[in-house]
Amino acid sequence: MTLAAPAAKRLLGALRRIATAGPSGVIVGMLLLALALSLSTHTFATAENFKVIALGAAVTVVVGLAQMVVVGAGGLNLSVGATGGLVAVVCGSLMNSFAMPPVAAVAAGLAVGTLAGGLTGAVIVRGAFSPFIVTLAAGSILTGIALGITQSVPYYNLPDDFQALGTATVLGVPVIFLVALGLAGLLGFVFRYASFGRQILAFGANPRAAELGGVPLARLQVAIYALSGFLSAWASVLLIARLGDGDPAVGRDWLLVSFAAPIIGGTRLAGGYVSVVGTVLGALLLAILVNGLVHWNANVFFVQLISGGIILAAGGIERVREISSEASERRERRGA
Amino acid sequence: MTDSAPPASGLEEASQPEADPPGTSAAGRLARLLVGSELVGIFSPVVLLGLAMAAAFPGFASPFNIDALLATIAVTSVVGLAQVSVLAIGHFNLALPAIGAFTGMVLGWLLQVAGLDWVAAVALALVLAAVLGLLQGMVIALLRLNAFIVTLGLASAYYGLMYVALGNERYQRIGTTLPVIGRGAAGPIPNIFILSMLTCAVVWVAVQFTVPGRRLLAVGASPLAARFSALPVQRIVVAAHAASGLLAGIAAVLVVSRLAVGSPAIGQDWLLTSFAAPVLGGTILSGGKVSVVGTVLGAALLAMIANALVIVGVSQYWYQAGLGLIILGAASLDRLRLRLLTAGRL
Repeated sequence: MTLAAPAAKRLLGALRRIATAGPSGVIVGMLLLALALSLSTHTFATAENFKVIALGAAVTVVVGLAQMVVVGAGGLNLSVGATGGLVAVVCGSLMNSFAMPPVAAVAAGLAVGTLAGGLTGAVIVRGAFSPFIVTLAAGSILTGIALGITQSVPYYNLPDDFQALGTATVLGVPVIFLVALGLAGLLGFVFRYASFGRQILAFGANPRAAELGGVPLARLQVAIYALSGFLSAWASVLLIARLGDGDPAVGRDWLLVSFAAPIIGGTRLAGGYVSVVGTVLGALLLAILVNGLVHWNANVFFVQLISGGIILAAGGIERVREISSEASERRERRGA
Repeated sequence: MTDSAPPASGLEEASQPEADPPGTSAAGRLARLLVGSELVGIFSPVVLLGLAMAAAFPGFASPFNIDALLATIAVTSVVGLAQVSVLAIGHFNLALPAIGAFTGMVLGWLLQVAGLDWVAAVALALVLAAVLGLLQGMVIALLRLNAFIVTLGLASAYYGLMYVALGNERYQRIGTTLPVIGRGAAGPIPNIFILSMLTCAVVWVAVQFTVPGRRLLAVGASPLAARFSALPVQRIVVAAHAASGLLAGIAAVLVVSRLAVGSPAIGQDWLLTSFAAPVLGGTILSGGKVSVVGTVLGAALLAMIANALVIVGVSQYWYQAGLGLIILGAASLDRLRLRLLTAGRL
């Protein structure tokens, strides 16, 4: 790559500053978007609309976290959405067909999601398979089970007290958004202080070094995918509480946002670095964008087009980050 | 390393010990002579399942069912090869369904709205498909972005672009010539099966005997070694994705001609089978080794299993669960093959 032209150099410099700004870059982007929306429409900046955004963002945050924990370990999980679909069916059937109390049904749903994730991790470890093909297959199996059980018919009208939680607010903030933030806080603690979190990042940065450093790789990987399944299950629970139906189609459109939210927020696709705050902000940015397009009366399909563009841009930003860190490493080496 | 790879003699016993029972050993030997011993693992279950189904259900071998089965195999084979052309360099193409839908919709629009002649419409649609593949190849090669994330992002962008440009339309008045070709048959063999096999033959020749084909595999086997050998790695990556797009486009044209409709639903069930067919047939996921004949046989096995489940009366939803298990099984074979291959070569 030749950077003879000073203009190109300046452009790269600007890109690098944006790319390395971390969460503050996302915040600036979010504020600019919110400002533009507030000025151009009078329906955006209302308390009611902020509630709508928070309701949407709650699910996206948790979906992004479910992918983030795996990406941080250098893997990926294509079955986040399928796990969500199966958990929706499990919770729906236990509440509606077996009249279980919502708390028990949710607990069972979370257990199923965790188990599905753990099994996926075990298969990856046992066969030394690529996570891509195993999670692709797992997604197909879980979706097949969810659709097979229900014959694609949702469990309509979940119990009222469960549905009430989906739209309830505390001081104007939706409960499900608070749950999402609580899960994010928990993960933030795990990645900062718990050895489990540190081991995930060590494994993502350099599996060989982590193994030599005494990290129990097999158990760790099973735990990582179980955690991802647990979080996918939570995302599903939050969504069906809001929708009011245990729909097997839950999770069908999660794949793209599950990657977009963490990557926008600065999580490294190659593993070894995650940002919980960044993922939350990335999910918020996506939620505001989707909401904003509605307020701008844009064609709903623009959302799909723009989401695709965003994830490419996020991938590009990650690439710029890599280039600049390589360059600074080279400078350091030359200086030393 | 391709179909005619030498160190495969010990492979099929190890990977598929039960695949060579006395009853089919003659067929197995024949297959070995024809396409190299490695394919017996996939050839035997295709033959066994076919014989078992034909014996148990008279409807299986009916002309109607054979026609439906061959039509499915035709599309799945080409979709599988679309994935193979990027698997060869160790990449994944998650945008195949989007490219298929986009091509099918544009073909429908060209025929119904623009009123183009069918030859011109098909040619333009295929150019579009190749360009969509070319575009993702260029983003990957020139910007050096992760292939997974690029094809994921572009899949969404392609769908978005298609819907924004053409809406959620179903183009059903696409003239008579194309549907006549797509629904026609030469004796018991549907035309689209013949067209599909011609496409597969071209791909097979390209992989087996042409310089670009060999270069593709060289890049997949070791990008670094390929670079040190002064191969134009970036151009090869772009070409692989363009070929992948073109093949997805061909599959879409086959579907449109068969169903006589261009709709956004084209390609929505392609992703899983696009991986399952090649891996069942011996293509290695990490790149450098592909099997074109194996992919066609893998597509045949998948189509027969789906067909058998319909005849037995199992819901299509359970087929999806079964497909996941099949992919896991194929991945296990993939591992075993890779291990034996490395052991044989070292």
